[in-house]
Amino acid sequence: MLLEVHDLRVSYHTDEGTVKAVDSVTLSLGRRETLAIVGESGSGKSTLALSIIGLLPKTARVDGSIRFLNKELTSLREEEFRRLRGDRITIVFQEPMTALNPVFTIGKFMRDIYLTHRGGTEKDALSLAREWLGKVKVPGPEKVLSSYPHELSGGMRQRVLIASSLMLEPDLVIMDEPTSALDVSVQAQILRLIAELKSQVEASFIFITHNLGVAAAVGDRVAVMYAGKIVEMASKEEIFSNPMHPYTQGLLRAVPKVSGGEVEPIPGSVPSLVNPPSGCRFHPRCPLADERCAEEEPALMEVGSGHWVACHRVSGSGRW
Amino acid sequence: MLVELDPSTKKTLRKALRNRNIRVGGIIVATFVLMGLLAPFIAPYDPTKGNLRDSLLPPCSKYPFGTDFAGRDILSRVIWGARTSLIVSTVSVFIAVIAGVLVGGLSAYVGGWIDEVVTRIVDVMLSFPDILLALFVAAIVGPGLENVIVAVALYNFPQFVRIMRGSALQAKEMEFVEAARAIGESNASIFARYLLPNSLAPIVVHATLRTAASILTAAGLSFLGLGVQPPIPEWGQMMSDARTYLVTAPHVWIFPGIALFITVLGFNLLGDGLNDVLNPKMEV
Ligand SMILES: Nc1ncnc2c1ncn2[C@@H]1O[C@H](COP(=O)(O)OP(=O)(O)O)[C@@H](O)[C@H]1O
Ligand SMILES: [Mg+2]
Repeated sequence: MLLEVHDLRVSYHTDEGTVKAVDSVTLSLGRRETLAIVGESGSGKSTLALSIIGLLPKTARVDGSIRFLNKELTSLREEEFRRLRGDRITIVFQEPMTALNPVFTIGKFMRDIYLTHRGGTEKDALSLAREWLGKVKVPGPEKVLSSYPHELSGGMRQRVLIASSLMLEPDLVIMDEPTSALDVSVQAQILRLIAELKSQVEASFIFITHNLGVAAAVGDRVAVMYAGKIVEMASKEEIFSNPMHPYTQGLLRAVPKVSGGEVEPIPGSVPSLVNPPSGCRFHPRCPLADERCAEEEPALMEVGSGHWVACHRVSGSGRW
Repeated sequence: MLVELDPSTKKTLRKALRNRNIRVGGIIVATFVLMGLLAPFIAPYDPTKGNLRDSLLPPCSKYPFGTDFAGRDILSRVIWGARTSLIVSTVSVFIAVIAGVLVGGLSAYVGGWIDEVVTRIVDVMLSFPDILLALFVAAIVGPGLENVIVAVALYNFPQFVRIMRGSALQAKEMEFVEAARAIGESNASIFARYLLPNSLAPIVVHATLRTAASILTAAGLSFLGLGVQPPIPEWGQMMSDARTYLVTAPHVWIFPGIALFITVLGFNLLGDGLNDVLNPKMEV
């Protein structure tokens, strides 16, 4: 396994109290595998991503274990972590408009990544950058290299950031809602590009999205997160053909369909993670909840090969 | 700010040249700087040696701006006065910028109690009017060119701390700083290459405006006898000397007064113009 996260808990200390943003998450990722993480905004997806790449703010407290390349990341020295970041683990953020330093050209930005981690010559760095700008289908790579971020569109910038995240052949690429800030038409292009690039590189991917349709299109496996917890995890085929958790089913109904038809958003919203609901955190919004759901927290259990669910109505008394 | 002339720099440059404040202010400032630099070559007379027989002559063909009580050529003293003002203002602003940028930037970057202490001290310093703080320091360290520089630098310092801290805090929240961390950049590198350059525009603008204020304050200190001492020619001090002949020989204070007024105006115009041109860029 490339990455093994075990019983990870991340909490933020705020004036309002302790936010349990990630609560007892366990997952693993093999080589060349893509895990899609899906959930509404505020379910702890970004927090999970930041804890893996070691970029949580100082106010965050981390318990549990994250093993990557046989190193325990939760206790790794900052020095050593810095060498992994941008090299073995890379991340693409949601907002391409602000992710690039406005005073650097794209060429300088990409060249610096190479020089920071590989050393070598400026010429090698630039030729690799040029090559990767070609791979992400940026028109006129040479011109883009000498452009400043504000001269490029959001889609172009995101292509640049994707190229930068893959350039050094990392082991793990995290993409945190990489298309959410883009125009709908551009979103589809970028998703297609990511799918294409995935088959060309050796990296494993963690792909974060709030759209289950996108998750299933990109991921080999899909993990559904709700209020800091993984509530269901299965192969993408299983998630679509046999969604078991009421939340997953709700997300599925909320996916906009190509054929048109009504989109049904799940009523209510993600609860505050300072005082999450007792028992199953989804019970206040769950159409199937009973007393037990409000009292007892369901454990994540394997209900079929590689299919995990945390729901009393599924694992407790058989299928409902 | 940017070395290569890429398209966007060229655009900024063109915008700057079309800005009237920059053009007018720039010409005034350039004249002032050239006057200061070339004083030994362009001043017709020695500014410190006078001929008592020519005392208090009104403007004439021999002395275009007339002479002062000691018979010294006022034109030459105005030209050399530019040199004094240039030295005092640029050196003191330079010191204040360097110190302010380091303290303000680090304070914002490190945060925590250090930031709180720095902010408090700066607030206290800023609660004094400019000239009062400078007066206070000048009164303690005594008069003289170096001491004026220290006094003026000290009153400029908290302003640059505040500006740098503000824009560094803003830049720190930008995602590209987190993105920089995500590509393995160290703290030192992020500070020097991400926070500093992105805070440069407001610093440049403010430095220009503070140069104007510094020239005025230094002249004020000298006027009060707490600044540059004779025989070094200085505009404020020249005007102070003229107090006894305010009405009988007005040319003694009018010419240094006009020089001071135009120079301060020039730096203010330039600063305003730069503000118009440079700051929209921060919106990105
Ligand atoms: N720096 C932070 N300080 C305090 N609370 C935070 C911070 N970042 C995120 N949170 C809280 O943690 C929870 C999970 O947020 P996040 O990980 O961003 O979720 P997602 O990416 O799924 O939208 C939310 O309740 C959010 O308000
Ligand atoms: Mg997020």
